[in-house]
Amino acid sequence: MTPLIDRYLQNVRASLPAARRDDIVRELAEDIRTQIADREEELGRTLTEDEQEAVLKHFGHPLALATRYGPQRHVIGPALFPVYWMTLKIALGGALAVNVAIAIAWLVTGSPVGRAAGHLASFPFTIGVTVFGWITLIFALLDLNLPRLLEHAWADLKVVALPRPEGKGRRWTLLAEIVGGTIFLIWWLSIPRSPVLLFGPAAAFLAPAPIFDKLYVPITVIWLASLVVLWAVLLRPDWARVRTIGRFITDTLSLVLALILLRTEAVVQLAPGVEATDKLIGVVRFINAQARIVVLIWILATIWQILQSAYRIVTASSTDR
Amino acid sequence: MPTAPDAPNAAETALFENLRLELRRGGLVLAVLGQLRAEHYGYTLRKALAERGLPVDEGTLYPLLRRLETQGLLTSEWREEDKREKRFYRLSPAGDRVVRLLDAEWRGLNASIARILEDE
Repeated sequence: MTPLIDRYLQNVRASLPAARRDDIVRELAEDIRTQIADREEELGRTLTEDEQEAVLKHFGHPLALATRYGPQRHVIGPALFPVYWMTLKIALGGALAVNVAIAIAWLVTGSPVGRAAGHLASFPFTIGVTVFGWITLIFALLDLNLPRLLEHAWADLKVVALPRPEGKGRRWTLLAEIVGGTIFLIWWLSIPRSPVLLFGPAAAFLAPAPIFDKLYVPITVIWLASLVVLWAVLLRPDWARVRTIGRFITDTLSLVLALILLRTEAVVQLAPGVEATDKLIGVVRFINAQARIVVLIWILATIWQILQSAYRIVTASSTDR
Repeated sequence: MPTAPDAPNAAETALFENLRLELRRGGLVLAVLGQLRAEHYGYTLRKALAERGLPVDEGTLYPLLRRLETQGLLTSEWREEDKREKRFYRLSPAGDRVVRLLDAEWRGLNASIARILEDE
């Protein structure tokens, strides 16, 4: 055995299963020896180092060769992998959208640009890695129990959801969304002229806080954009993908607004000229505290919608392929 | 006049290569089992397969032989030949039964695919 072949076999040996390594190396050494002897007999001379290397290259990289002798291992098997991959894309896409929204909200509310940029730049190494790790861990555990889970699912066919029917039903839902959205828009556009629409009789002593003026135009634009998307899909049903992507974008922007509101001290204040009695101050505080809870619910609902949109985008792109 | 089909591009060639490997994988197991109805050691087995049009590299063949042996389809023993120790493989009785079933399956599959492709 030449030093080159010895070195190669030592490298293979190091990565082989301990119980069988001597036997395997002995067999490989015998094959290499026979191949070289055959070739030397053919050429009538000893092989050069380059020619010996060419023989070894046929066997492959020592580590690659050794791992083929091990049991076939995987963290997530082929049966579960497509679902894992889809979930990972949805979760990472959703998490990224939420964090972009957070960064924009910081920027709008006056945080330094560096803070927002740093937050986004660190996303892959902090939140991204965490999401990846947890999802992989959960799926690895599911994979261990897959045969039992499938047996259970098979025994109870009700767990297999039927696909949602296409057609008229969805068109009516779309129309309902357009009508509801248009009514909201008319109401919203009327508020500056008639604050009573926002506060009812309490408009006598309540007024929107300054944040209302700041967010009024962005909310109007986002709402108009989502209505345009709905109309587009109603007129062109084959544009379902436009709706999904449009919804994902408007939900992310809506989250930005909700996060800005969460960072705001007050959404209502006493109307100008109203005497600040203890009772009225208490009412304003109460409404602002309640508004904070509503904003929190809004944030959670929007994150849920973002995840749903991410799911639709991911599943649509996998069926397109 | 019929036009010649376009030559595959790089992506199609890569895809073909993947599919070809998938297609070969199952066939290779059957070929190895079939060839080991007569006793061979690794080197002569590889030569025999190559002579029948199925070249296979060492890095694939040797681990496959070990796997098939672990599954009980092959038996092996170290023996001296031409003053050198070699590991000889042969189909086990279980391997013999399995190879008959696989052979029938392979022929059925082959005939079905041939009919499907001829229909096109």
